[in-house]
Amino acid sequence: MHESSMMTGLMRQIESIARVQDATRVVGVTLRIGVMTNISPDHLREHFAMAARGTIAEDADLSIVEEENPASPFANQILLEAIDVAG
Amino acid sequence: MADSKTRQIKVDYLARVEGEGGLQVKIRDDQVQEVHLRIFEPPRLFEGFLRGRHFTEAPDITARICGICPIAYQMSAVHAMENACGASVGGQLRALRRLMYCGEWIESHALHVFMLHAPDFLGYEDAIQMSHMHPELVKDALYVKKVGNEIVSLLGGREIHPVNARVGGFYKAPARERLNELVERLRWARDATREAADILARLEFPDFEQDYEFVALSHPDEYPFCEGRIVSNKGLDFPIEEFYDRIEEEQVPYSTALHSRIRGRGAYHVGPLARFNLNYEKLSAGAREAARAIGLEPPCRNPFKSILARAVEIIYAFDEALRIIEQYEPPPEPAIAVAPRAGVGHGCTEAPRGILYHRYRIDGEGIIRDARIAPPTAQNQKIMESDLRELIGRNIGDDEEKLTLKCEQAIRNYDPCISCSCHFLKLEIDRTGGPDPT
Repeated sequence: MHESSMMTGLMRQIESIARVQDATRVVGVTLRIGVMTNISPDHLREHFAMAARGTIAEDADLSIVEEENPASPFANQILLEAIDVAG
Repeated sequence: MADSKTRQIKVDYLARVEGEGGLQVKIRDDQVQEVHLRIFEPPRLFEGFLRGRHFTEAPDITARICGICPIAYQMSAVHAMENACGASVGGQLRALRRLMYCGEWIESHALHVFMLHAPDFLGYEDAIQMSHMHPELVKDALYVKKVGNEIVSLLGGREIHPVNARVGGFYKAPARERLNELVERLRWARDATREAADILARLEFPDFEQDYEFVALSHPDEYPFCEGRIVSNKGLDFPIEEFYDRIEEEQVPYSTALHSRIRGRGAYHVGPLARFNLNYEKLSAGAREAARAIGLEPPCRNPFKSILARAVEIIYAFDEALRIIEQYEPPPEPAIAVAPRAGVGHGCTEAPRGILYHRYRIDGEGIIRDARIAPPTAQNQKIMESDLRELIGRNIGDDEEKLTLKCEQAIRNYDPCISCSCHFLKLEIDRTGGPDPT
């Protein structure tokens, strides 16, 4: 229920970082998802593709790193680790 | 993935859920044609979640709707369930509910007045920026908010999404000493708010009087929290059971929140300014004195002055909390027994942002068959749009940045739930036919 709001916020973050870097395109995005996050990588991919449409990150290659440690401070979080930009 | 022409940027940003708001404006030949306040927070489906659950679960489920005003949701839910079951909570239990509500008004209003609204007026990006020039104001405001949280925490079991309210009363009632411990801090925070109100009175308010229909609860003896009839300055006066006979909700394509209107009339204004205008005489003497001193008199039709009405209500909430604590005797039982019976129940209470109406249909076993909730921000959407239309019309020559700031302030007057994100507005202006803005 909150995924689309979260993705919109994430896209805004990605776009603003890309802008600061004078990038013309975002070609890759790396997200780390905790084992306690209530979202599967497939579900996340779908939402990402939808939210990225029409943005600077459209068609970006999405890598998802699954954090397996339930004791990690990010166990229930989605973390934007890095973005790859061109231009 | 990264080749010679691409660079990798390390970010480590936590993805968060944020309220989303946008404003779409269509201008033709220097005339505002359309103003759409879009709320694209996805639907949260709470009314659906409630179906099939036991009536006693409603306060805990609905408390999760809002992290700032969970008490309002709990109070509307318990009153609706008690109404359905033919029960009535009185005496000290009723007083404790009012006390808990005081805590919520204090923390919610203090957050809005000092952390969100005041920085707008003083031209700061946010309260953190404001704290460089006004460190004492920010420090006092945080203390005021903290004292509000302490009341909620003491009565609710915790500050956010409290767990101690139940149909019939509380799971546990506080000992007298625990409430007495609060008294000194409440008095200090009340005086600090009174002093801060003088600073707020010196803010520059745009001249923006509007002919609103103000709607609020009205109770014969007290400034309204949980009970009363629904009244307006233009003749409405009806029992809460008639909410949907008098108010209609409509779905608009550009928002996930329903828009409310008075049947046959249109937009209406709920919240602190409506309460203040319709219940001024019921304020404590101290709150009325503060209102006079800062130049706030009923009827006030300038939404930008809602910041003053909130400050007066904080002072009222402190006075009322102190009064309740002074007269407190622990009740013999923390709750009265409420047996389920088939029927429909209504609850309407004054959330910090305005009237919050709940209606439930439950069966003989106490299972919720149907739930309807009308939150104040949804009820204020139409009035926000009409304010924005008027404001944009008056400032049509401004560039987008200036206009965005003014629109943000105008929306902030209503303290909508989406204001959690400090500068949230995505303004899209579609202009044709007029001169280019300079």
